[in-house]
Amino acid sequence: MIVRVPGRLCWPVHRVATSGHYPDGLAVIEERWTLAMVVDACDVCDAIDEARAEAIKRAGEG
Amino acid sequence: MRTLESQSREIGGVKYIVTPLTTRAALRVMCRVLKIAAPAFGDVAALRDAAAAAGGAIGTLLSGLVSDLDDAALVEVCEAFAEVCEADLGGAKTLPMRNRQWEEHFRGRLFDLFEWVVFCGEVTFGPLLARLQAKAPEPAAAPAAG
Repeated sequence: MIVRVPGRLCWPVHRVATSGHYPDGLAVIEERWTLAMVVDACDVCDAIDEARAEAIKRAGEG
Repeated sequence: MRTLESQSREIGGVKYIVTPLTTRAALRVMCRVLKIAAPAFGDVAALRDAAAAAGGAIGTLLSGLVSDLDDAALVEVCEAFAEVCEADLGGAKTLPMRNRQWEEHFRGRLFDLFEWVVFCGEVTFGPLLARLQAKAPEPAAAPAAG
């Protein structure tokens, strides 16, 4: 699935807010988090997504 | 929610306690310093490039401010950093720099003002740069069962 995000948005922030892995929403992330925390969270989201994709792939093969 | 770690530094005999800017404020400052019309950070890689450029700009802010930033941009950057800074003047309470307190506080201390801006920039963008410049780790999470 391809998700097209408008270029005017700061995707890393929205990526964390829409991931479902963190309890904070967009407003809280923008007002309380630092950019460094957002970057850390993006790395975590990437790792989880890759693990999930791998699990789905293995399940399909099995 | 994690507590934002503050850093302190003595500038011109005054100890300044600074916490990192929030995401929204940091993006606004980056756009101002880099003269980007919109926060065009499509992914972490773009953010990495922008942060590297911002880090460089902040590192040379003393010379860059005068030549690169117009008055309005400089004031906007100072006001953003003032929101996350308090001065320890040795009394019982610290003095918040917000609400334009920074203007009076740095009156006649322009060099200290520039040094303060650089320090505030380091507090926000230093950790960000460190994370962005670090090699992205391989995903360690094991595939979920089922």
